[in-house]
Amino acid sequence: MSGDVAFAGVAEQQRLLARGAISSVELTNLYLARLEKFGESYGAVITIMHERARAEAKRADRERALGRVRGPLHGIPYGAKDMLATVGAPTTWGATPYRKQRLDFDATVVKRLKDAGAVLLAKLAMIELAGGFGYNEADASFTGPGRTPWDRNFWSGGSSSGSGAALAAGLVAFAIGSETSGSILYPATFCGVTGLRPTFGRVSRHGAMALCWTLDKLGPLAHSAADADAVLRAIAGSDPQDAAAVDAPFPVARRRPRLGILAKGTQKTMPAVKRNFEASLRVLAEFCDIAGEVALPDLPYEVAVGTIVRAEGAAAFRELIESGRSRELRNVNDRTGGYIGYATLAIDYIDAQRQRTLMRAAFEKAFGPYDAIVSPTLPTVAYPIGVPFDEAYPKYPGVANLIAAGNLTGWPAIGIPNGFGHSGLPTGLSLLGRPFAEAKLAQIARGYEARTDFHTRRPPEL
Amino acid sequence: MRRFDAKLSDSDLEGIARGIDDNAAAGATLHQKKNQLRNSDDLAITFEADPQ
Repeated sequence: MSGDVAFAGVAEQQRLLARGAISSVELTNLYLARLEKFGESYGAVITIMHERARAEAKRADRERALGRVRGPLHGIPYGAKDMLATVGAPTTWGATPYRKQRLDFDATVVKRLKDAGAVLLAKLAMIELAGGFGYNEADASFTGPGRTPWDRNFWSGGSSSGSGAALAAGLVAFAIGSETSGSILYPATFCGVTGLRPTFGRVSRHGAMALCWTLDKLGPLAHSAADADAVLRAIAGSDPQDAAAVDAPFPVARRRPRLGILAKGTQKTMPAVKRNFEASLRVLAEFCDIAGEVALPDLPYEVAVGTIVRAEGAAAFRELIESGRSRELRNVNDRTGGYIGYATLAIDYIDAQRQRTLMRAAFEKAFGPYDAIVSPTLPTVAYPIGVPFDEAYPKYPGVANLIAAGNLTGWPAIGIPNGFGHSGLPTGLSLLGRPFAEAKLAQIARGYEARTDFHTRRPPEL
Repeated sequence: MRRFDAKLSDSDLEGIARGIDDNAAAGATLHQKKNQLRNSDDLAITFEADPQ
C-alpha cells in the first residue's frame, strides 16, 4: 500500500474503506510500521499499542462486513497525547516520575473514540506535565524534544508535541491533544496541520491529566478542518465525571461569515508571517465579509494565565513537589517551577480569576458582532531546538496573539496552515469564535482550504 | 518554603527566589490602576458559556 494514504485524511480514508479499497487492518498496519520507522526520530511517540490497535481494527472490519458503520471515524487509526488514561499502556504524562504509571481505564475521550469505531494506535509524546512548571526549551520530555517533520532541527511545538509531529509525519490519521494555553495551536502551527481548540466545557476531561481545572481543554489535530470537526463531534458532550462538560449544539453559518481582523496582529511578526497572513485575507475575502479591525481589549492576559497555571499546576502536582521528585523532571526550569507555583499568593490567584470575568465581558463587547476574529496564530515559525525560547527569535515577539486571551475566556479557535517561512517551516492562521461556535470556525476554515492547498502539503523528506 | 531546603541546591533556591519575585511582579500587574478590580467583580469560579 502506498504511503500516500497515510496523509489522505479521515474523510478520504473513510471513502477508501467504504468502497473496500483498503481495510482498517491494512491501514492500521501501515501506520504501525510508520510509527516504528519514524516515531522516535521525530520524538513523537511514547508507546505503540500494536495489540490493542490490531484488535480494534479487526473489530471495525468485522462490523463493516456486517453492514455496521459507526460513523465517519469507523476504522480510522489515531494517536492520543500521553496524558489520556488508556487500558493497555502506561500513561506517563511525558514525565520521568510517572514513566511507569498505569491507569487501568480509558479516558472519556478514548472511550468515545472507541465507540465511534476509531482505532487507537499509540500514546504520543508530550511536554512533561503539559508544560505547567515553566519549561523554556524544546527538550522537556523524557522522550527528548519533539521535532517538526518539516525540519528536524526545529521544535514541533508543545505541549502536544507528539500529536503535531506524528500527524505531520503521517504516523496517525488524526491525533488528540490538549490545550491549557497554546498546547494545540502551537504544534498545529509548527507542524503545518489543523488544530481545533474547543470551547471550555465542550469535551470531557475525565481521565486526562489535570494541570488547570479552569483552563484545560481536549481537542483534535487533523489534516483538515473537516476532519477536525468530525473528531470533535465524536468526543464532545456532557459527562457525569466532568462537571464542566456540557451538551451543546454545533451551529453553522447560514449567511456569508463576517470576520474582524485582530488589530496589530502582524506587528513584530516575521515578514513571512505578515506576508502569508495578508495573502490569507485576500482568500478569505472571496467568501467572507471582512468588516474591519478589532482591538484586543487591553487587559493583563499573559500575567493572568501565568498566575493561574502556576497556582493550579502546583495544586495538581502538590504531592510531586512536596516529595522533591519534581527534581527528576528533564527541563531545568521544570525542576524548580513547581516550587514557584507553590508560593503563588492566594490573593493573586483569586484576582487573576476575577480578571477573567472582566475579560469575558470585554470580549463579548468587542467581538460580539463577528463570526470570527482572524489573526496569525503565532508571530514566528518553529523555534530551533537547543535554543531557549526567549532567545530563538527576540526580534519577533508579536504583539497581540489571541492564545492567552482566548484560553482565559474559554472561547474556541481553529489554527490552519497558511504558507511557509524560513527553512521551509509552516506559518499559521487562526480564527477565534464565540463559545460553542467550533462548527462555524471549521466551516470558514474549510472555505479557506477549498481555495488553497497548504493543508495538503507534505514535509519534503516524507 | 524553608521546609524544602534539604531537597534543593543553592542554585535551585536562587532560581525559586527569582521566580517568587516574578510572582510578586505579576500580582502587582493584576492590581495596576488600569486593571483595577472593583469590590463587586466576581471570580470566574466556573466557566459558563451559553450554547448558541
